[in-house]
Amino acid sequence: MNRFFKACSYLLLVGNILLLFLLFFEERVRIPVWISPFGRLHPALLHLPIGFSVILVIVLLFKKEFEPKSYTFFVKLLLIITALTSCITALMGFFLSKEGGYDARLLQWHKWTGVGVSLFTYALTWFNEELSQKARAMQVSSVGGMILFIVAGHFGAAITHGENYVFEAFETKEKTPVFSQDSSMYQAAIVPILEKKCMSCHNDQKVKGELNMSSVAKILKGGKHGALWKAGDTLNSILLKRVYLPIEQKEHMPPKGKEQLTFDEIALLTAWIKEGADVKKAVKNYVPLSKAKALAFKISGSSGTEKVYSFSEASESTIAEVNTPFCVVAPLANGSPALEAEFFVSRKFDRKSLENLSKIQQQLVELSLAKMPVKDADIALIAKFPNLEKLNLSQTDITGATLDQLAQCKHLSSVALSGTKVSKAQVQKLMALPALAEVFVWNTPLDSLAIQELAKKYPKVVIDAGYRENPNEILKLNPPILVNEDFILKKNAPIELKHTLKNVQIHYTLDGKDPDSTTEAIYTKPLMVDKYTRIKAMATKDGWRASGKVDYTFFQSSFSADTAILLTEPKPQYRGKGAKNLIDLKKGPNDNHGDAAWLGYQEKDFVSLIEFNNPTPITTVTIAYLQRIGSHIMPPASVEVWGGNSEADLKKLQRVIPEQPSKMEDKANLGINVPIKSGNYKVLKVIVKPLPKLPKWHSDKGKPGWFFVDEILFN
Amino acid sequence: MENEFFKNRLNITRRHFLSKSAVGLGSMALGSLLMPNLFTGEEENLAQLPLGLPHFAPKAKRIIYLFQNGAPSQLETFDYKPLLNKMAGEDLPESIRGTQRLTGMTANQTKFPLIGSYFGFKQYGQSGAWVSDMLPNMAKIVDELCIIKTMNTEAINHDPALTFIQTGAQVGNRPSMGAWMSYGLGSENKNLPAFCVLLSRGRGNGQGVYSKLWTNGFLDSTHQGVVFSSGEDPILYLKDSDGIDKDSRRRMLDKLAELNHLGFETSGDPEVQAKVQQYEMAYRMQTAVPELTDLSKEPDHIVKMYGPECLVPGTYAANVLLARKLSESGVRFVQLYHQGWDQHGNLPNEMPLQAEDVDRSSAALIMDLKQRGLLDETLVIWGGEFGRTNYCQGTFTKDNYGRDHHPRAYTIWMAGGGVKPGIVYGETDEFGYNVIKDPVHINDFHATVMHLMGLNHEQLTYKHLGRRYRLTDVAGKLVPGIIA
Repeated sequence: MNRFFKACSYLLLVGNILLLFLLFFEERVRIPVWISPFGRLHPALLHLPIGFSVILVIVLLFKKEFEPKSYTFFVKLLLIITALTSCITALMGFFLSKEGGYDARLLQWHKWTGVGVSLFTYALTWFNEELSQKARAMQVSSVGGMILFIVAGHFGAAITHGENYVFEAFETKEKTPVFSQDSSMYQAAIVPILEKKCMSCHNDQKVKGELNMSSVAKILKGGKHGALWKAGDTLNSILLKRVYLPIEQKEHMPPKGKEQLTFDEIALLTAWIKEGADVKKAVKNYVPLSKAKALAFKISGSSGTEKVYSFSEASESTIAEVNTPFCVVAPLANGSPALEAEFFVSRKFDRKSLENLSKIQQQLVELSLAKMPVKDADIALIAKFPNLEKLNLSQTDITGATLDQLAQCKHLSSVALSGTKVSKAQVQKLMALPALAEVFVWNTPLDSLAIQELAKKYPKVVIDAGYRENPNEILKLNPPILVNEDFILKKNAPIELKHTLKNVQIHYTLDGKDPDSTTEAIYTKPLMVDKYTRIKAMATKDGWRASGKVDYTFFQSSFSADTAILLTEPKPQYRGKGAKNLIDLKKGPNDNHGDAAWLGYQEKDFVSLIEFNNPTPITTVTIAYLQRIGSHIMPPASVEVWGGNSEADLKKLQRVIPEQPSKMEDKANLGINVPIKSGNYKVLKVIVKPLPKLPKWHSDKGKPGWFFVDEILFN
Repeated sequence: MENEFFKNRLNITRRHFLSKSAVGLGSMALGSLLMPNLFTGEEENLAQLPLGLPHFAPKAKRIIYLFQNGAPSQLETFDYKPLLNKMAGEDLPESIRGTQRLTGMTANQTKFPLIGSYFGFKQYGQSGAWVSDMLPNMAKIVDELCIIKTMNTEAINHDPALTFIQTGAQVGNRPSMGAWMSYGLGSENKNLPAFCVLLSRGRGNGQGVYSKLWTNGFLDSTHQGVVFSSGEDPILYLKDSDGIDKDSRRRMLDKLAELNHLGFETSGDPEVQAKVQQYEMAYRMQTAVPELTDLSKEPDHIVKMYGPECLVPGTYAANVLLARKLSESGVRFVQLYHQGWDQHGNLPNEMPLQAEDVDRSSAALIMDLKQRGLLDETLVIWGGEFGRTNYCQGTFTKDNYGRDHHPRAYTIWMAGGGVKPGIVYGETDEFGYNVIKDPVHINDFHATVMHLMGLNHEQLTYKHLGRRYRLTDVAGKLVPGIIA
């Protein structure tokens, strides 16, 4: 162990002499390249002496806990290691300092305190034995060493991290100027980039390449290689040259490993230099098509029209005070002092809420009172908002008599008066407002002539007259509307139609023919029908084109059957809910034959047995079927109805051959009425033959047709 | 059984956790350790931007999205391609089609016969934009419109494409645009939901709409779109039942809320809280909704403006009129869906019906907002989920044809709130197949719409399943060319 201590003290001697030598001949020393990595380890190694010294102080403090022998040994060991690492750290620091680019004042302080630490700890190793006799002296000198460490460390930290690094969080930061039309492009768009991406190495403390970017003057002065940019000359501006170099090149800036500039930032720097590199010019003074301007807006994420207001923000509690469930007051945007107020729900309008807004008199820039029962007297309240820019009074109760009071609102640029009773003379009073840009006067007593005159007189103001009914434009009426919700009419239920416009005539037919405006049957009251009925209707009205037609089929149901049985199965994919579908009085949709209300048959007869618990006086059987010619769903080829009192004694009652369509027709829910000999029946059998072949005119002629049924009804 | 919400602490949302932890400074400190950025003002800490306010001054305060469900053909509406008429019947050159993935409906076609628009086109307005003869009313207001011809998406089928344009992702479970706006900006009028949905169905071949398109996804369920009924009463059950007055309704809700809070304390399920808020919203809506259906303050010619159908509940025109009323009453996002634009076949017969449904009322909405001084603060969007192919699907005849789905380029328009009026943005090639200038991807569209609403799309985030989500997720660039 002694050998170790001996070797260490020799090393310490040599190291400290070397250190002093280097310091005194600093100006003449040239550091070879190979030593530079050694220097760069300084920031890593410096933590060792600090750590050891802390352990040393702890051991000193807890002297009593150690056996005397081991205490002496530990103190000696720790002292010598502290001294040795301090010396090596100081040497490394010296090498690093030769790389340059650091704040000279801070560096000087750090250098001398650092050397001080090394020498002081070296001295302690010499006087260790003497000092350990006097506990007090030892404590004083170790605390002194600690202080020296702290001071040296502080200067070092200030060099790398900047002064006041530790307490930076408590400092009130200078606000970066808000990016807006009024701010200087340089301050608001360029400086933030430089701050973020360049200034960590080019600042007052660290002046790499002799370039300091901490102020406009210093930037313009430039660095080792001269001025940073040449206005308008992108090719010869050093800043851009460095930025555009490939990242592998040593000269590339920011250096590899540091946060790089984004494409947009590079484009902005380039555009800004190209457009004159003016450090004072305001954003709004750039030409509209300026690339720099566009990019600056893009980077700032702002929309470019943000206004800057000079008045102060209203407190949050004030804003809360003026808010009610029916008067909503909010800042225009996060952080904006400007407020907007909107009133909702006219029957809850409370004049006090409007009066209350005087608490935000300065801040209110937008006010919407549309549809509120605002009276002429209330304009006086509104006129008290000096910064008001946008005012919506549409559909309020004002007559315009007091509009001239708004003359006090010098910033008012948009006023909506649509749907009020204002007159031309009253609107004219507003037109003199200095900032006025648009007025909305739709649906007011102002006629086109008055508006033309005003527009001529005040060409700067856009007067929006809105929609005017064109008497020559004739519109098509909407068709009649069916009131019934169910297409199966129970006994004595009528068919009801209506129309949403007044003075409309509804023409209808019940015979399947298309109605037109000459059709005589005109709907006046609900229609009573007694069997399957197809109603077609259309509407007419003076000054309108006739409506399109509606086409509904209604099925009448006087008797409900008790059971239904299918004697032949439908096609598997169109099985629906089986036989009970036929008597559940629920119609299937005509646009979806896959619906479970439908049963589908093809190439095979539909045969069903329907039973009533009691003999029932039936005169008509109606088969409700679907027609979708495009999907091969056709009227059946034939329908037979058999009847009797039991399954065993059925008689054929009627056979009907339905008419087949002769051309493509719309999809429809249709029905076939089968009149039968009157009598009381308990059992009926219905046999339906699907169309075996599609007609010749069909694009798929010859293929078998489908038969889709959803209900069988009895009257 | 153990309580699943307490068993799995992850189910408790962050905000919920914070509000719980607010009881003591100690738990606050813990909160800040778990979320180190909680109390700092760092820019990276996106969530600390206060919700309920725009990030910067917005161009638009509200959105009305006239969604044309099923994908209207751009080639018959706004993207005029006479070359397709000249080359009708000729095969689409492979160099144009490139490697485009086709749907199962046309992938097996051996030929891709080009077909031009059955309908004529004319130029309108100062912008000279081409508009189809099917849309005479939109043509009249073309100088208010910002027509984007280069929208493009990745999805080739309705469900993923709809989900993508509505939620920013083709898979489900992400919040819809309207839900994001509700989350980011809150409601203007506290008496109406911030996000309302109106449905209508045209006469053309339709595609479904479903609640995942207006879902709140992982956001609080208070941000979910509220679907209005298409019947006479847009909102059902708003009237107090006989014998119940306002006061007893209030007392009932207060008691119910107490019970629900008890339930919340045992279950810890944040949805219970959301439910309480929804009851409150319904209560407040009782005062606000009657005005919405009241037409007495509207002049008679409103009916002519929007077309007579605007009085028939459940029609597109009626929904557009209702949308205007909702929007002017402070609803942040009104989403319409009009079904029936999926013309795989029979296009020349079906499309005019669809156009007739939407043309007049859509144009009226723009004029109506304008004349009330609201157009500059309302953004109106019209368009579908993708475009349609320049070649015919199925049997080719000059008078009757269909078009399949086409994701590479399609047209939408926007108007009002901060978009440039009277411009046509972007260009497609002569075949109307590929974008040749200024593409606008769905993500870019979302980023731009959010920007117009005063939201930075990169900063409106929500942390879910361990990472932050945005409407634009990891993509989206602003489209400065359309921003006024």
